[in-house]
Amino acid sequence: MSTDKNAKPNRGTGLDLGTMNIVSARSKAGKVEFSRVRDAFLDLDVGAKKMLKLSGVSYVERGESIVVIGDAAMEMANVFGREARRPLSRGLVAAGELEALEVLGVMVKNVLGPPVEPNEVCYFCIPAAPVDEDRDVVYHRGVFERIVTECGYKAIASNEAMAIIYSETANDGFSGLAISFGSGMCNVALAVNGIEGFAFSVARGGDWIDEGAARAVGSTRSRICALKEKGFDLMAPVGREQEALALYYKALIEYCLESTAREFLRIKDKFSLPKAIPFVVSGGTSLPTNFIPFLTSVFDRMKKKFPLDVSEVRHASDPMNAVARGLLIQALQEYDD
Amino acid sequence: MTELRIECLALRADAPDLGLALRRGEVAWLPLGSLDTSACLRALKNMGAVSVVSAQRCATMRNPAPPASRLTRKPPIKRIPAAAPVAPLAPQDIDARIQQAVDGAVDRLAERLFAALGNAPSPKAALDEEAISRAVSSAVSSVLAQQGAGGTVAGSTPRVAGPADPVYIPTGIVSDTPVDFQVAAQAADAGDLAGAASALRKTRTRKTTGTTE
Repeated sequence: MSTDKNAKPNRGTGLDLGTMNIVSARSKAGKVEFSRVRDAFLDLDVGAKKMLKLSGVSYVERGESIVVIGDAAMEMANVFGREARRPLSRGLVAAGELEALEVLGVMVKNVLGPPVEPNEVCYFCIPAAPVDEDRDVVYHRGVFERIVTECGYKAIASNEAMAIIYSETANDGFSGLAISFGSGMCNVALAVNGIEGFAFSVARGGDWIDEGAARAVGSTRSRICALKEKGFDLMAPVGREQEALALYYKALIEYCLESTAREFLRIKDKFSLPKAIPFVVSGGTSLPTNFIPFLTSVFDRMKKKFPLDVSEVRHASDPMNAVARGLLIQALQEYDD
Repeated sequence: MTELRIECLALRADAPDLGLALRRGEVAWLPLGSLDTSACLRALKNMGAVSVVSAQRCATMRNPAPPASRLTRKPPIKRIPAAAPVAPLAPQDIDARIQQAVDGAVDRLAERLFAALGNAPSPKAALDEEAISRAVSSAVSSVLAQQGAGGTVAGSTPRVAGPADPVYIPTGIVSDTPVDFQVAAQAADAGDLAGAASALRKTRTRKTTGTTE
């Protein structure tokens, strides 16, 4: 599917800043254009330049070293037997990682492209503060506000899970429970008529599953991650590694649902739900086959104790791009055209 | 070295074959074979008059006893009565106080000026701009300091100490140098994107204006 290259894009853009991928969304001629880059980089010695040129891999020269960015970094990491570096750690930018900030600047600039007009609105996502770790998102938010502003945009931060609500529940009046199963963390939000009831995150996600499953079967994290991304059926795992993955998936889902129930009980006196709400699931960690039936089977066992009345459990229409789409909707509503 | 630890549990315990006489609470250490060789000790043990345990002696560190002297005690903490809370001022009250303080400062300056006019060669020498600004700023700061020490302006948010940005974020993260690398592009049908944006705009407008449908 391609869009008319000469058509002028609409004003407003959305930017999903994930631990695994950075995705931007922009509307143009009745389509939504998504640009994605793998949130990873690899620093190599200058000696590798010739080899990279021969293989047609783009790189950035940085003094005495060269940096390979994106998907190529993951591929090159395998070639050189190294682990690719990740600018974000467990959902948040690491304080003091100046090299990572530079790489993030390059990635965001390339994914966003130039603004249509000066100070064009760009909604970027930030996770909610995790409930199970003593970390906040102040620095993370400040860094990306600066990067997006330096790219020539007017930066507006927005909650990640709320973006799924805006993307997927327009027909439900922006009411629903959304969970973004990300790589670094899982973000949860509850909204009724577009009003946020609560939003929080847990410091577990796809990386936590990989680490746990790798430990359980005596494998490596990258091998388990590759196996997971290759695709497998959660309802019918084959072999020890897939079974370990399914066990950790179950543990993560239970953990998210228990945290959701606990957070809802804290606000239930101040927030009323007039009717049953949809439960929307998104994120790269929700991609294995039969994720929704698997989640539903876990949810059904907890349903009696679950304090929220859920009408249905459904997958986002495009789980990898739902957050960016939700942010784009927020950016578009800033303009009247 | 392992030995037998004999502790007297009765009022008195005598083992004449060992030459042992203990009172309640006293402890004696004997060689390991003593229980086999001494019939008295066995009898005392069977009666429950002594406890016999094989153990190793070790040096123990004791904490020094706390000083008994009254001189070393800390003096009692004197409770300082809390200052009476300053009632929060309304903005117009602050303005009035500032005006009052400025008027007072100008009056005092004028008095000095008139006094100086009597013996100064020219009025300029006594009335310089610096003196006026110093007097006014000191008067204004005294009012603000008084207000800052007490409450807050009625209806306003309390002032939070520290800069707006709590952490250091470097500038110039994004460089102007063009960098070319692979960005995966994908296009999808927009669906009802405009409708969703419009519905969200309506929801947000309703929230801010407070109207209901």
